[in-house]
Amino acid sequence: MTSSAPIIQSPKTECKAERQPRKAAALVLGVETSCDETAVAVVKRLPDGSGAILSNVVRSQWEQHRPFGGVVPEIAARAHIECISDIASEALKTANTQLTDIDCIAATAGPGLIGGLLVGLTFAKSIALAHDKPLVAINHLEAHALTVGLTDSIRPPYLLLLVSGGHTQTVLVRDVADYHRIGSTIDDALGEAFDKTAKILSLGFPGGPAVEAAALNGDPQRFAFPRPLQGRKEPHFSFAGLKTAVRREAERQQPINDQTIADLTASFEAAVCDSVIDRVKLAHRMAVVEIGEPDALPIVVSGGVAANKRLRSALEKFATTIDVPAIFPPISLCTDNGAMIAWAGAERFARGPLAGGLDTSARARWPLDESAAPIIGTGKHGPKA
Amino acid sequence: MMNILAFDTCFDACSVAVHSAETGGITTERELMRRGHAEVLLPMIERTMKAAGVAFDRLDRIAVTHGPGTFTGARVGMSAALGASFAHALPVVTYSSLQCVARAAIEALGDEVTHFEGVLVARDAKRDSVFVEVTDMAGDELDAPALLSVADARQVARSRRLFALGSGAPLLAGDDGAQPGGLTTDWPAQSPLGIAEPDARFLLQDAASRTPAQALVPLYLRAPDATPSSRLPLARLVNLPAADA
Repeated sequence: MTSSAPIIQSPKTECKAERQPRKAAALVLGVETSCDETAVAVVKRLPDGSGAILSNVVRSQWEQHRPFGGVVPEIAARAHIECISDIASEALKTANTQLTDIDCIAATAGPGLIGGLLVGLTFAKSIALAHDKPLVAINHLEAHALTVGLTDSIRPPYLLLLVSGGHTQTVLVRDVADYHRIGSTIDDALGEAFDKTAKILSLGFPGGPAVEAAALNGDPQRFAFPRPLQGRKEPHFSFAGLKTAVRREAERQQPINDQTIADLTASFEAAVCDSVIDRVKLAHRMAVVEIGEPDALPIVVSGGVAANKRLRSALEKFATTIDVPAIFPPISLCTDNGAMIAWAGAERFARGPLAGGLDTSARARWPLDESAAPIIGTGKHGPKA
Repeated sequence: MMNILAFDTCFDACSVAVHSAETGGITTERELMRRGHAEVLLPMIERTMKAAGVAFDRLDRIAVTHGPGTFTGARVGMSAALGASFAHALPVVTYSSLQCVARAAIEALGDEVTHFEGVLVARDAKRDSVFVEVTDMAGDELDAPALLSVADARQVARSRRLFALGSGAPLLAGDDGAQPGGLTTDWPAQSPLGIAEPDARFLLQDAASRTPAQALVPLYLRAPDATPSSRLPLARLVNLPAADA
């Protein structure tokens, strides 16, 4: 339990009475293959709700995708199947455990790239069947949402800001399995905006670290890029226009030198931070109204873009101004990993009946909040809708 | 005698076959389908194993078709084989999906096999190409599975007195519609439904004696569709050290 974080009891405790919580500690194997990391982990959950990571093996494929400036789905699926077995062996070995000791197998079933999802999910199903273990199909977004329970012992409710290469959304996490999506991107994910900006400026792939490094000595005020949706009353995000503005400005500045690149990227980051803070501010206000808790509702930030230092410090500064804790799980657990999948599986397993039999489908699109109305008018398709 | 679990998901069928060492019998289940293998395969394995009375921890090996096939289909079968192999440290023997089809054809031909020197299984792979494999009349590989242009596949079809089947077989007739000597391409249409789709039970013919595969990767025979970014880089005055250097 971190001392700084207030623990707020969920108002929805009545649901728990219907469940049959499991009393013993649980050992869960988690498999993640939704994008470009092949990852397997073993996590232990104790009856008091705390957890420990026994192993967390991640193999990134970005070398294979780099020539294309982005993740190529078929290349990703091929890379997953080539190493999934080795990664799983390493995860068991590091955890010093064997499959017979595992209580439950968890695998990401979506949202993500369908070819890769099918590799991990089918692999996990096969293990579950061969050892007669329960299988839990995990929503990748839920795994990101629950990671702080494992890393910082933070229990719901809290406001999650998920910023990654595939997703950008704010979610009110009321309880495990009880989510309300507040805002989402109407076009590109934030990580995508970083990747595309890096691509425009030939900075390499993945774009996040490349843009951040280039921006280090840049002037964030030299270029006045748009702050998408700033001030709008819908709590959504948009980054496509910002990326286009960077492209136009870069083309106008040709031939460009290192300083211009530094200034372009720094100005881009400044615009991103302003836009994100504006959107999070609104989402937080809406979340507080929704749960009727006037006191501090923590802000939890997850996803690969949470590694960006400028964004991180902007979010920390904002949280301080409204006097709520801002919690960032360690970077290695913000990006895609198997431990978060295993942990989400453990949280589900601890609550009794499991969703996800051997006939479970992988889902390219799987909103965390199934009841959320589609964001009308955005023309958005796929996992971001 | 071995307990063997065999399955295929490469093309438009999903099938499972289990050989029981105890009874010597084979238990099978098969469904023709274009989509949905990922949902159907594992429950089908569960039912077939149960019906065969074979437990997973009593299995001696896995037999699976590794391709060619739809990319996803080949991966679903191989992922399931990898999982089962990982679960109980089982050896895996792999087969070409086309060889599996050839064996079904040979069984269906019965006494007529003497009319042919081999079986050619051709699968329409679109873009003017076909997946092709030639086996002898015992169902053993003569020409390894390959992705050929229709023109090259026609050459192969004329190389021997072959019995041809599969969705690519009609493409192998000459431009004038003439059949090469002995080549039969219209047979699948008159044959029992689904004979041109793989059936895992034919893997059990020699799965016990086959050498286990070293690398368990699908046989795609076709590179992924992806082209490196073609946008010209911005004009630069000074080059930053490349981020990927």
